[in-house]
Amino acid sequence: MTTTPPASQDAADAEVRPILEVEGLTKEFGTSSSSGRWSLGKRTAGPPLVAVDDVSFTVARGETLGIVGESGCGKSTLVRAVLRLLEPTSGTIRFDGIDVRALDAEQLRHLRQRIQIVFQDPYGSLDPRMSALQIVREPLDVHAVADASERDGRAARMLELVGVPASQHRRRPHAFSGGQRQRIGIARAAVLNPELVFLDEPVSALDVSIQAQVLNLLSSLREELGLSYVFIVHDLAVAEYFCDRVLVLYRGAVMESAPSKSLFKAPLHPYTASLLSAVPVPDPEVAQRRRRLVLPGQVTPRAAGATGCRFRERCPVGHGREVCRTTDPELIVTEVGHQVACHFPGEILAENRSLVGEEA
Amino acid sequence: MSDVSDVSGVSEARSSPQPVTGATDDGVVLSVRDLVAVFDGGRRRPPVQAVRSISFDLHRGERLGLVGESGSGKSATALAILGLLDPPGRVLGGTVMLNGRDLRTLGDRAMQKIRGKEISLVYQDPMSALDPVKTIGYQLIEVIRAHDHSISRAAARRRAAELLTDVDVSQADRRLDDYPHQYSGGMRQRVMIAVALANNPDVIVADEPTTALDVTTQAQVLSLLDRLATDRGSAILLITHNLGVVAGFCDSVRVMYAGRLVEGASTRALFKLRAHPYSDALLRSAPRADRIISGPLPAIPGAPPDLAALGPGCAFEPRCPVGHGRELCRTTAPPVHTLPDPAGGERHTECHFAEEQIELAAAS
Amino acid sequence: MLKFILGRVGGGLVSIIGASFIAFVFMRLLPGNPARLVLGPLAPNSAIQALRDQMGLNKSIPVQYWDFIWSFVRGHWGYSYTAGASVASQIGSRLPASVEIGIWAFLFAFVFALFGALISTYRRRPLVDGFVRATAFVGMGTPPFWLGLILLVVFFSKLGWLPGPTGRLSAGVNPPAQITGMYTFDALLHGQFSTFWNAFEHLLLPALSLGLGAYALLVRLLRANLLDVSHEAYLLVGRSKGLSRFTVFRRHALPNAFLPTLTASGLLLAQLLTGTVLVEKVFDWPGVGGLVADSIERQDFSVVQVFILLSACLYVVVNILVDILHGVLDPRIKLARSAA
Repeated sequence: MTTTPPASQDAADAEVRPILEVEGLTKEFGTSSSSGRWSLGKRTAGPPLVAVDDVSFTVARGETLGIVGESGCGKSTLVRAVLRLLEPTSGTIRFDGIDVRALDAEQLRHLRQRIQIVFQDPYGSLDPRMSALQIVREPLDVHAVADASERDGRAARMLELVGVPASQHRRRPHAFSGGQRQRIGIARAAVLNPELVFLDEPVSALDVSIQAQVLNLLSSLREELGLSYVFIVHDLAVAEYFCDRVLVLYRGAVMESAPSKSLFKAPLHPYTASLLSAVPVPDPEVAQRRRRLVLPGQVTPRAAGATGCRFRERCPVGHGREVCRTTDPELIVTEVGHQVACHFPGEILAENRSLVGEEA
Repeated sequence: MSDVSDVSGVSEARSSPQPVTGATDDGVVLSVRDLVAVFDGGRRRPPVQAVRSISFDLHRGERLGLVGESGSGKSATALAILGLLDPPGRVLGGTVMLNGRDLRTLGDRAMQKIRGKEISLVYQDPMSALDPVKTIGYQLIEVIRAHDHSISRAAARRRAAELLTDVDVSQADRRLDDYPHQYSGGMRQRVMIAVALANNPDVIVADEPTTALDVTTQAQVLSLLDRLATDRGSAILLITHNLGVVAGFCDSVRVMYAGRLVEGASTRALFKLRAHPYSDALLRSAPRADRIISGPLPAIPGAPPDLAALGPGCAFEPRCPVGHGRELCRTTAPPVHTLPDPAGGERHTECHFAEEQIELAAAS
Repeated sequence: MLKFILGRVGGGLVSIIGASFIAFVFMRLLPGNPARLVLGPLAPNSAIQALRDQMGLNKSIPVQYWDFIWSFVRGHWGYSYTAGASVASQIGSRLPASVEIGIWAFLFAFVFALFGALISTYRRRPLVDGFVRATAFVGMGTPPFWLGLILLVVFFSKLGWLPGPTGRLSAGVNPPAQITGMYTFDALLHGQFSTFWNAFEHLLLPALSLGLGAYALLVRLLRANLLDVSHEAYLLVGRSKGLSRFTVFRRHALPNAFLPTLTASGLLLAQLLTGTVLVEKVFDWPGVGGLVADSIERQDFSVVQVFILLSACLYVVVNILVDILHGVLDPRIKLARSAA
């Protein structure tokens, strides 16, 4: 896998150093520590809540990390906090060894050349008044990359690389389909030759057949440009297919983190297990055989200061158990690369042999 | 806003589907024949041919899945059946027999008596399907009183509370006075189901009822819909793009592409073997939670066709792994092949090279 | 809820204080010497100074400002030297006439706008829609005083259907006993229908002239909101329940379309109540607008200052009322606050 040389020190070190290290990242809303300055009479409505609670993870160079969770789990807030589009309440973020939180506005802007983001909504994330070429060229202009005369060429090449032919470069977003717009969004993110790309549900709004095309595109770009991805997704099947490792988020905290194959073969956390069992499988016999763990209720953000495991009210394993009520489980390592935050990891599997199907 | 009514339940997925495809004529509650609908393009623009002569039967209590991507015409089909296709949409022809009556011959007045009572709709987006300035109770009671003018306010309210409880909303009586923004997406969708089931309809048209929901909420909602519809003996026309949902929920499937039903079979039969290249490619191109796939996904190349500019041949030809470039596929509309369906009755496919497709599908 | 109102009132006070600065400073910036205007060019300087002292014009500016504010709050609105009457009595006697045509102008504008927006959107007929939009453009482009003149020429001079600029009532008709000072409403309250009709005939043309601009704004706003709402899914869902198109429209489309119009309506009403100068001149209507115009000419600070402050207060009050009404009618607002 090709790697782009990082900005700092030892080349050898750099090869091994993870491209992103996040430790203890927390984002609170509405607590006294979270509102920076006193704003005239305005406070966040509602009780203080912890949207992201002490989340840590690393992304190795060339790796694709999936962040999986349902709406309200905090995954979007997490990404925004890492990119400092929202200021984190606490924690450290290191991109290629650089302390991101210590950067000033100018340095941060400079850093954004190396980290890019592709958004979910192919309809809202493109300026309707710009042509495809202009959209992809814009980041080059903003960061004053290369000569002005070269930028059109680079943008055009990138567009062709993502599958938008030259004849369509002058068209505006409304003339393109959802899948094509997403390609333009990807081209825009890739044109600066970033090292790390965040993908916030890039295929969720697309039709099934187009999803496959775009996933394949992302895959080939990963190879060709040596990209690392952080892929936020709610569709577990897509996460399992596309990502090397997966982080499962629930109410702002990591429940389980493992290589995607092991996660899906044998999920140790009851939440992961229930998520997996809820994913519809296109095979009627498997669908019939599976016992579905249907969880009641829905996800709400966690109030600051709550105790015990945040999943216990809906948990088939921990409901009613003392230790789950009193103690918030720590992330423990069960095997290499596999971490779970549960007092009874793996128990869910013992009772539900047919949660998942077999390997192809 | 959390609604933790009880400890997690473990529910079994539905037991063996009934063999239904075209079995007998009795028990057919909805019969659609040669339905055609277009969207007018305005001056100097050709109309968009959204629904190009489709036919299917829905039996009492049956679950039929209508699978298609955006631009396939599936939503237009749902609206056309309900008589709710508004300009620029127009139904050009065909019959829609509900309990023996052709809905297309009825005026709007007569249709009003039928909608919400014999046939109802579950809309896809729970966030926009409820009036934000009216209480949930108002919107439930509204459908009850629309079809029962003699019922008293109090009785209607009691019935509304019953319905809310049926759809697993706890403290139903109190929650009748809440407004939609106080309910989560999953709860709102359950209210929609309650509205659709309020008058025990014979047919429920569910247009992508779970697309906007999280996967666990989706499971809850589908399980609920299944239980309630079974209790009432309602048939369901489930419109979706998700083949996984179809596999777990439907008895039979129709695959729609560019306005035509390109394949129809019992669920079991379809998932065992696809007789149309599109259905086959669609199934193969999606990642699955139960199988570990490596390497690139077998994506369908290209994009859905422009429905305002369809040629005489097969609409899928430009993207078809079997028919691409073949003269016959490009110039002539494919015929319908019928085959026996192992679950009973027949299955059909619209393809010039059906046998070839079947062989290919069986081999892989 | 109380907190909400207090917050609004607080904000309103800030606006009023700002307006008072402007009123005060602006009038002081005008060239010329008010005392001289009163006493004439031949008066000796000593008399001028004496009068200036009496007027309080020789005190320091901050002191003058404080006097101004404090007196306003207490209702001591001063004395108009050029008119020879207290400001309060002048404004008081003329205010009801202005408020009356303002209210009627708003009513006309609103009813016509509602009608226009409805026929434009209920069933999409391009001709009808085009016609309504045309009336809106005409309304936006037509100066009220010009319209007033045209209406007078047509309906008074040529057709003789309506009375001319002869005041609020015909000669020989007695005004009803004062309750609000507005003849039409007072007459209705007293049951005097012929008086009501007479007063109404007199205010019809000025109110229409004034209301056209407001109509234009309202009809476009209501139409746009109705169009937005007509795409909402809950209308489709309503019809799927078996409700008629009209019922769905009445119960679900209208209330939702109306809410965003509420704020604009409030502002328009305030504007109509205070912005009547030119129309009053055309129809020789004995309202506050004319008084203010004359006072500016005469550099009569006292009247103009008070009028500016009064207008500011009126805008603020109307805005607060509209906000409260909005909070009451829209469940999303009310409950979001009480849940906090």
